[in-house]
Amino acid sequence: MILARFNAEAGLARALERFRAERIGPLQTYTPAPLQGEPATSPIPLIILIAGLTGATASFALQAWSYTVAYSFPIGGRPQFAWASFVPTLFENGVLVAIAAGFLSFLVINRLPRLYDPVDESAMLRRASRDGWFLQVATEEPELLDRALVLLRDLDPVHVEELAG
Amino acid sequence: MMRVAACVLGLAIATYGWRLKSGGFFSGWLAALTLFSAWPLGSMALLLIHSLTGGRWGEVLRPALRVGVCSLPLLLPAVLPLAAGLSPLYAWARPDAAGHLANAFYLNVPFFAARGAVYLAVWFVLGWVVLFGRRIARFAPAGLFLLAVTTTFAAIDATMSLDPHFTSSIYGMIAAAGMALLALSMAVLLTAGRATPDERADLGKLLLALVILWIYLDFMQLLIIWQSDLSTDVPWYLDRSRGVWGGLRIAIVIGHFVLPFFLLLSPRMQRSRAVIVSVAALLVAMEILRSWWTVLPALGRSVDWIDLACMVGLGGLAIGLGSWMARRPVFARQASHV
Amino acid sequence: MSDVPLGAIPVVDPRETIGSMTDRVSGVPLRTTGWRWWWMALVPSASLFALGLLAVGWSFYRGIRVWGNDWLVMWGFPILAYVWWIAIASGGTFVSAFFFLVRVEWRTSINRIAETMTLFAAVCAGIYPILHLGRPWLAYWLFPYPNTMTLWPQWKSPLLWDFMALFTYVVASVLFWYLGVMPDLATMRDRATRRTGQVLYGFFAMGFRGTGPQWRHLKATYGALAAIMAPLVVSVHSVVGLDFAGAATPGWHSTEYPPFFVFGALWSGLSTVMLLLLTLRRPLGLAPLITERHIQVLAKLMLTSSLCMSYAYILDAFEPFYSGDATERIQFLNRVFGGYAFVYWGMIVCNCLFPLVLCVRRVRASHLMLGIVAVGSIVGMWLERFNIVVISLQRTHLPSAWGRYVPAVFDWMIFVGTIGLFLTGFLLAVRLVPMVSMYEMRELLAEKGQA
Repeated sequence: MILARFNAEAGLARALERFRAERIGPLQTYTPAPLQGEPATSPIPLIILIAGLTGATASFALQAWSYTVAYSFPIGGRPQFAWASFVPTLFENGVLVAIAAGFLSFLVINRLPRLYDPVDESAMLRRASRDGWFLQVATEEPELLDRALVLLRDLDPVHVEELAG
Repeated sequence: MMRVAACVLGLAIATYGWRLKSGGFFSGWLAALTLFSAWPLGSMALLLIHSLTGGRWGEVLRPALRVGVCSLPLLLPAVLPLAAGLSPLYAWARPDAAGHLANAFYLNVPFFAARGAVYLAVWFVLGWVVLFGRRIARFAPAGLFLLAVTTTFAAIDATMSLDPHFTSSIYGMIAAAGMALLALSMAVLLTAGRATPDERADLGKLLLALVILWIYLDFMQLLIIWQSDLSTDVPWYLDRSRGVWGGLRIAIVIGHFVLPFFLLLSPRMQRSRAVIVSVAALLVAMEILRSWWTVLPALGRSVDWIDLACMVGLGGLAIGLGSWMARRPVFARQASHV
Repeated sequence: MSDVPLGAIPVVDPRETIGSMTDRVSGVPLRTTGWRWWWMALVPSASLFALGLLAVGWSFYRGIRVWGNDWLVMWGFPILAYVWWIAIASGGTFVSAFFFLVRVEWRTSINRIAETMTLFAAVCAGIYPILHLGRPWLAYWLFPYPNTMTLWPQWKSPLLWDFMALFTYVVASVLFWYLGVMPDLATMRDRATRRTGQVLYGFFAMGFRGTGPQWRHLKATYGALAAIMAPLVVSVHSVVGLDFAGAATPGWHSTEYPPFFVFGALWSGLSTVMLLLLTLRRPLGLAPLITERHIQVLAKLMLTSSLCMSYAYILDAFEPFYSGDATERIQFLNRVFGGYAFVYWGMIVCNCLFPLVLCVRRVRASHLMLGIVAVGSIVGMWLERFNIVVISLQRTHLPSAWGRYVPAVFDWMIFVGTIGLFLTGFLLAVRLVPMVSMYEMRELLAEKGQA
């Protein structure tokens, strides 16, 4: 693989454009902040919504069932199916399930924790969390790597590194 | 032109109805008055809030909100039928029922009239400041505080006192949330044609937030009163849960909360003109229904054509007056300054 | 009220770049010198915490009869302190979640401090309901778990809603905080020089490397979680209000209690954030990132929440007389003129009257005055909880049930113990975790053209 470091987001954005036009891939970026202009689609908000609604419905069902069937205890003349008093708990439980689902799906979709990755062999990658904007061409095909190196000569990176794996 | 025709027609029908059935007319007029006074007051509140927070939504809506504030002078003639109808409407205004009321120190005709005068004075001053003021942000916190207090007590006086035993301290907040929602929906309806998709997304988010705020406040009142089941508070809800009012209640929950909530959730829907306009129109219709749901059961009435006539009449007058006044040169000049 | 538009005050020092900002923020936990103030703050805090632990141990041994809770006032310091702490915690979530949704610039550098404050304040709040159960080892009965006693929780009780709400709030706050801190832990991992630092930060950063998909999913998740946390914090405080409003105790059955408690959360929470910012920005070297703009915006928000409190107090005073209920009237007059009247008037002064000085621009410019108003806020909110919890219980419906409440020394010890726990936890967090959200600051700096 090839790892190229740029010192500004604009440089990396231009490089990405050129690499995508030339169809050299697979590409990966390592940046200190999200790249502007990239589409922000993710399935996680929908997962959170569905999980929240499911949690709320399940909570309501549990409360209604336990109050009317399992442990029916008349208190103060209140109706058994007291839907109004089930609402606060169903909201809280729905939120809990939604947030837990959101966090877990974030980990699962990104395959975290991933404490080792071959790209960690590069010492300069540590700048990716400060001010380095990195482009990785994660392929082993020599032909693609050569084309990538040629392309990078025009794009003025700060440093280019070749790594195995 | 159509607006003038609508309001003239509505007024004519309403006046004719007054001659026929005066009891029905007064409650229909009260419902229409509480609803359409929400338009200038809610618009004032939104303009004051925007002067403090800034934001694209306010820039887009400002002309329409100013139209709303310009309809404020309608309140002056509109309270006259209310003043004439105090006895048929309010139990505490009738000497035979008022005697044993514990809150008669507050609910009596002279004090009511004095308070009403104070509210109107405060609203007119605030309206003048909002329309002509140069640096609104300086007065906005005090203005919002005064608006909140006067609106709360006006709502208590006008509609909560229909049942003199019913007390709910959140009532003013629910009324305020409904007012803001009505003003925002009317402004969106007047503006949606000219807004860009990004601006529509902002408006959609604001509508969603106010819808959530409204259902939260309304549900809290229901839950607390339901839980404690006190005989002074519960009849208010019981009257509004029987027969046609029960069905209307469910319709209001669906139309005022469930539908707008799910329609406005996705960013793609928030950008669509059709969704925003239809949600705003739906919310205006729901506010009308809620106004009837609040006022009419207290007098044991059902919805009648006279209520519709009062709504159409007063609504047409409000829209007509607001847009006519907003087009006057003196207001147009100010609009370009702010 | 504002002659210089707030927008003209820079939200971040114009000389900061993403490199210098990262060094500045991540350098704090890695620093080895300049911690004398930290030790001077930690030692008393840890002592207070130890004192609280002693009192808790004694309460476990002898039972909660060593507290002041007794017939006739059954709810005392524990519930008071619980509500006080959860209000402070909510303020942090308001800043980080609610103001995220409205996309304001000034939230970016203060949201980590606010969220960390929420974490520890929520923990302090959560201790109390468990402790004052009487048999805290049976606290798990509140869960709807399958059991041989065929028992279910009392779903209709606001106290159970409270348990659900608090549990959800603590878990949600931890997950939300952790999600936001993960990229910054990656920065710490890359900058740590000692092996233990690298291993620990690396472990907790879970291998976050800042790849395109990771950022994309992080932003989407964080945005969705913020959209849920904002109503959650309102619901948590409303459920706390419902704890009181669902009861028939005079003075508590008021439908405005849920939003009233939310106003109180805004007021005391924002004031505590202000206090933390004023005290921490210089010792941590964060002054270029937490600028005068943040202070001024918070001051205006504090004034707004104080006005909301005044509105709620007006209605609170109006209702007993309008409702015509004799017991309500008696309990309100007792509040205002009775033996504990100084509590009510102290509350009015601290929450409504004194904060009006924030209308004056020169007062808002003085950090000392802002600190005093903020301290007045948390004292005033404590007095308000005392007012609501204790004084209403002193004048219930039957005159035979009227009495006095005397807090015991163990009540005070546990209370200062929780303050010690909060300060100790927060100080440890300052030492270990970067206190500004670096990745959000990078986006802000890029917007300002300072990258």
